[in-house]
Amino acid sequence: MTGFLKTFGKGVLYVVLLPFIIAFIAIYMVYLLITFFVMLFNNIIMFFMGKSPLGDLKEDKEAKNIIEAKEKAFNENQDKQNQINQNTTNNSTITYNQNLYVSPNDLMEFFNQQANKNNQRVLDNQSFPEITKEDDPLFLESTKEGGNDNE
Amino acid sequence: MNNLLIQLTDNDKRLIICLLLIFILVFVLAGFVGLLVQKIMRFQGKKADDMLFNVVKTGVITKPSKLRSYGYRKNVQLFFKQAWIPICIMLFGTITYFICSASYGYLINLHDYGPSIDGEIVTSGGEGWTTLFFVWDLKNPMHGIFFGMNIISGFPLLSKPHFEVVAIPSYIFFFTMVIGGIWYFVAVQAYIARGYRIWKLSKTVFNKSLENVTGNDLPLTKGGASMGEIMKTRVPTQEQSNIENNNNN
Repeated sequence: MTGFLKTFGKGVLYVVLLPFIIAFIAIYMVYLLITFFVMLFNNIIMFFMGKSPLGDLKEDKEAKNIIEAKEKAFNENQDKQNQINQNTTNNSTITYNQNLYVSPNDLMEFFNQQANKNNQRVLDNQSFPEITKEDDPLFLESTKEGGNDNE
Repeated sequence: MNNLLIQLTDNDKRLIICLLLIFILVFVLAGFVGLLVQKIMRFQGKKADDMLFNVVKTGVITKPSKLRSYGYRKNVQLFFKQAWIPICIMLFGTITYFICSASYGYLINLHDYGPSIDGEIVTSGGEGWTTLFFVWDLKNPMHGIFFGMNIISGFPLLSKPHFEVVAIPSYIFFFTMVIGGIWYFVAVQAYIARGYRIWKLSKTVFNKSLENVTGNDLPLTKGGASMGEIMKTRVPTQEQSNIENNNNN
């Protein structure tokens, strides 16, 4: 019932405002018709000047360049990653990919806080093995030592 | 008022109730039409998101005023692309009308439904698009007594629909104008919807809010990872798992 009354109320509102809405749209129609013809002549002139009339704006070009550069960088990175994976598979080594390095100290601080809260044993440094550069396949690839682990 | 109600017969009361129901239904229908138009305009406005997405996401535009200016230019471009077909259709109709008028030697009367014969309904003649429709004499309405009041009860019929070869230019003009006009109206409506959406986005896209930020989202140390990130990324060792299990127990 409330929904029905709401719709009825809106209907009354729309009927009352209808002349203003029509006037508003009519003004816009005339304005846009003028804009259309102005733009048409502008486009014709631009066409004969050798420019593309409805082409990308300056901002569009900038955005396109940025996106292309990012895509290029991503593809290069992907190729590199694929190459590393291929090399490590060929050499029968265990690969270990870690993209986000979290400081062991941060982790330890967090767990110690939790342990203190619960009156439990505080962790020492040995609980968090340090990630060395030798564990990083990217590092191994860059120094050409990736396949030497088994030798 | 009481006297009037007493004077009303059952049939009159039924008629009044019917009229009241029709009155309510008309407004409800208007409400539904309004809601439909709102939904359509919201859908049309979504196109603005497509237009603005790349420049906002890549950081080319970082100010609301620049966004509005860029949005306006893109909106006009899109309007041009959408409106050229209906405008061409309407121009075609207008040009056809003037060329045919020139060949007839006079300007074709678009509203001519046929010769006027008193008391007879026209079923032949005429060169206007009105020959395709019923035509009523709106200037001379018929009157009737309703609840003691003399009110308009109808209009005399002047013409019935009939096809005329000489009226073909008028038909072309009429239909091109109707089709092109509706198409152009939709394009204008879409332009207004996109313009409103752009204006709305320019007010919200660059807003900075700390509404849902908690201490967990802040870094523990300067430039370090936040507690939330640590919780998401940590891989517990056997010993840590045991501790956590103990904590849970």
